[in-house]
Amino acid sequence: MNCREAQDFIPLLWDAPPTDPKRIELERHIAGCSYCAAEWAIWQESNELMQDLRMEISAERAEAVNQKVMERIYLESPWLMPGDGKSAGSTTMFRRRLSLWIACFLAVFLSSFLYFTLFKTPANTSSAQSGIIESGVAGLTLEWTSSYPATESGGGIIEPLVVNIGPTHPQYWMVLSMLGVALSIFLLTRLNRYRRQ
Amino acid sequence: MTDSQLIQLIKQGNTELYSELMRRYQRKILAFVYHMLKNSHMELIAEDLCSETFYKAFRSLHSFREVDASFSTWLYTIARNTVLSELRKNRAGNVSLEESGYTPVAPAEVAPEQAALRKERMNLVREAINNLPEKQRSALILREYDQMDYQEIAVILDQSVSSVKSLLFRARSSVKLQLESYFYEPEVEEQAERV
Ligand SMILES: [Zn+2]
Repeated sequence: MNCREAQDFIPLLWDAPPTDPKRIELERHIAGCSYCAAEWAIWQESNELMQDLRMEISAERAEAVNQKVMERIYLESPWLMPGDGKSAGSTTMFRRRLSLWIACFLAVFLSSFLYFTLFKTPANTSSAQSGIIESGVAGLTLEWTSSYPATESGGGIIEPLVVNIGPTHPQYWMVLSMLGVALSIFLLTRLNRYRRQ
Repeated sequence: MTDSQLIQLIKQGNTELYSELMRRYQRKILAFVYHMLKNSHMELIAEDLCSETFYKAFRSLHSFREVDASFSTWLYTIARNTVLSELRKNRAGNVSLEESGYTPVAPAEVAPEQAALRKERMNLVREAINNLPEKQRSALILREYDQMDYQEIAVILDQSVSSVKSLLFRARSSVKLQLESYFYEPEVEEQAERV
């Protein structure tokens, strides 16, 4: 091996195991050549300096990262928390809140149902009616006709008409509250299934 | 317990075991992220990026296949990508390690003037490493600091083994060239500034 070959081989063989035949040949050359030995020394020095630049991380520092990651995982997916400990608190709170919602919806449903059955009797329709039409018409030349009742007036001022529009407010409330109850129960069962997985 | 057994348990819902899995690699990954970063406030960023790496790994744990890579190389791949996207974001802030408050510890037994000389050379080498193209730097860090074999580095950098060899060859040559200038040229300061 001549000097030129040796120079080319140094970076290539730097990593090679000591048993590599090429490396043995290179080391033999370096042992007998001061120029290549100096070159090899620079390589060794640069490698040593590189090792000195290596940073060691303390165990505490790495452990802080560990905790941060676990906290983030649990924060973003609370259901992944192990069964005992904080997790129980967060899910039972969620469940209590859901039950409260169900109770509210049921109360709305009940009151609207009671209102609907007690007050919406045929004798008392006006309370469940809305949509008043102004129908004051002056004069006798009446070309105006209507399908509404009470248009048989001969002239003059007619009474305001009241039009029946259904379904009325209590019915809307009933439907909405039932939907609310259904949604809350759906959420509760989904939560239970998640926890069991 | 092996990594894959642990991963299997975590996938089955034993999330708390992920902490155990992290403990096997957290120091290595944090050190790797440190070495890869050369920006200011790097201490803060390194820890953030390291936890970002582990969080991403947890989120995509279901997609991890042992056949493609070991868990360790997979983690390094995620860490490298996380660092690269961060470096791309703050390409403007290019502050060297020294300004960030990090100072390596010089060996205690050497004489003061020798220590100063050594520190100067160390800065040269650090400059040289920081100025390497990213792939060369990554390959060098993985080889020198993480003692990885060519095959593992090839997986992490998504390169062939032979190109990893050539990356390492070029990286080492540039570092050595930087140091060589110190040996042969008297105006070291000027040289270092020019590079
Ligand atoms: Zn020679």
